[in-house]
Amino acid sequence: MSEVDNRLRSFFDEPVGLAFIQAVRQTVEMYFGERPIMTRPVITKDLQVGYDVAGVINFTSLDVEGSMVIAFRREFILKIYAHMLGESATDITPEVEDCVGELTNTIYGLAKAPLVDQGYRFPMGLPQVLRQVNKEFEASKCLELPFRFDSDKELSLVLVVKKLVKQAQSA
Amino acid sequence: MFDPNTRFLVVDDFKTMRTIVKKTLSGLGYTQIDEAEDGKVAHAMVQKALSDGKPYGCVVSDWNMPNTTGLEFLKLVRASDPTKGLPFILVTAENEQSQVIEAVKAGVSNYLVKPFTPADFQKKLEVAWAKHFKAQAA
Repeated sequence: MSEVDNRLRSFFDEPVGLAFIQAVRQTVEMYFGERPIMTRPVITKDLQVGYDVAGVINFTSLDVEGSMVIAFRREFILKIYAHMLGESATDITPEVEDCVGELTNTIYGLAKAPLVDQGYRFPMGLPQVLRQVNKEFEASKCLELPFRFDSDKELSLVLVVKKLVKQAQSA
Repeated sequence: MFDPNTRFLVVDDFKTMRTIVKKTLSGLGYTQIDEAEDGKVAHAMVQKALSDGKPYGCVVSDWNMPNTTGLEFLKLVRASDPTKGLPFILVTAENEQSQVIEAVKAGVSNYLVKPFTPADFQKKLEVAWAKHFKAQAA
């Protein structure tokens, strides 16, 4: 995880962090046409996430427990919505919220696939969409990874991990 | 490739993805496109279309949906004689090996991984068509 602060190594297994970062990049690039740039990550035990709208997937299995949050500033999600669907919106409508849900679903699914193949038992998850996100996540390990295009922190990937155990791979 | 008059059924719990799939199909020249928000509703639509004498020619379904998932819907379609040969494409971001194997065992015609381009989608459609109809067309 050379592009991320080395401190992250002590917080997350490297493949887990990379899988989620890559999933954000791939999804946003495909639907927005540009690859977002990741800025400085924030590690904390209690993270305040202040955004206009976010998709959340809570994952719980015998081996993993936590949440993945994809949080957006209003202006940026409206740009993505217009790019994805060819329709403009001037506010966060139910259609825009649906778009947030789909993006969250795609990012989680893309990150999950290689991790499951490596022995991390991430379960399927259905996203919830939150408005006016100002939620405090309490966890033993919590990481905010902001991404930007032109201006700072247009979207963030937030990973909240309470439990993360990798299963040994069978031969 | 599928005839331009083919009836498509697009199934996804997110309207956003239904719209993207429908627009992609429209861009490929298809005009008869219905949509459903989960596998349960979609299965009822498949049955009704059959009884109305206007069966669907291809299903494009999300995997991860509430109520009846795409995989459960596929199994229902394959379990019924009149629909067991219906081309069925599963769309998902969750493409781990175990899932792909499960889908193939259930009889999926092809598997489309999100996010996708229109070109990706067209290739999957061509392969699904060939799987079901190439021998007949030859």
